[in-house]
Amino acid sequence: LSLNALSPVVAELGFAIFGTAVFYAGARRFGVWRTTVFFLGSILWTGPLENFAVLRGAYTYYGYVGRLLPNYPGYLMWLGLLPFWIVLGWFVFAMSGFLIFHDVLLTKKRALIQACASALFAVNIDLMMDPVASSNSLWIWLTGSFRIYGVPLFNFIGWFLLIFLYDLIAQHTIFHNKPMIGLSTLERWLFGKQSARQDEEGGEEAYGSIDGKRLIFRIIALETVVIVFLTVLTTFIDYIAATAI
Amino acid sequence: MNPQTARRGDPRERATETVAVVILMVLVLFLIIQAIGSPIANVGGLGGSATYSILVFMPVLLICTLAVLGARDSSS
Repeated sequence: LSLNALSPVVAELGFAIFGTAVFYAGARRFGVWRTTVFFLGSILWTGPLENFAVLRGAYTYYGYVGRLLPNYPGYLMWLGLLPFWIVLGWFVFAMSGFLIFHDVLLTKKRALIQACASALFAVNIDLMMDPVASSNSLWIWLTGSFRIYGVPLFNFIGWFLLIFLYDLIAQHTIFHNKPMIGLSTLERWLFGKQSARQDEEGGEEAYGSIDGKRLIFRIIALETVVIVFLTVLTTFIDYIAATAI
Repeated sequence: MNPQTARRGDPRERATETVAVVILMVLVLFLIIQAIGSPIANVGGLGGSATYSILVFMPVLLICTLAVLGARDSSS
């Protein structure tokens, strides 16, 4: 048994601890219910998208099959084709970024700027993490052109979009009840006259109730847009790479 | 009541302290990943380049430091 074979165990344990710590921080700041919704929303946000990427053959999480024990898939907990600690990781980055930029560093800025800063911070973290994790086979990149230390370019665009959009969804649906540009017409058609109202003046502490149906709709609608966009983008990047050589 | 005790009891103040701790923990996590992950992968630093490691690590370090200082200021 080599030290390398324990990498998945370290990853699962590490993100379980960090997920718990970040959940605790979120619960202290925003309350248990709102943080739970944020966590469940992040599972719905990233789970299908990551599974779709694995199914498309972009990458695999089966780099440690049978390394620790015979027939052991490498990780203990799975969500489809995706280890559960990956979902926990998305929650850690999304909630940490939300706390850092909405609550500490950019409190007076617009939600769009806060989400953008949070997404850039997440991309920066992935620039550190992904080359190490993928060279350790925690996940293995199978396709993708224009690689940065073994990591395809589209991955970083995906990271930016996922954190940016989820930050906006959370800000407009979980922590406030505001309309989102581009979805208002569709929401009015789906939910009738009951539209997301603009929050009254009351600051961040004046949280309203969470509209669950609207949250699920926004997550699924924007997730579909991201999946289609990334599919077209990766094809385009691969085409450029093939014709440039 | 002692003013210090009253301040410590303020939920907002306790929450910002927690934020600072979590931010530090996230930073430590990535230090650990860098320290343990790189030798295992035998890549001699993140992605095999010291310049790359410094370039990607410094912004995260800067933002985490600013966030910890900001959280501390808002809780004092």
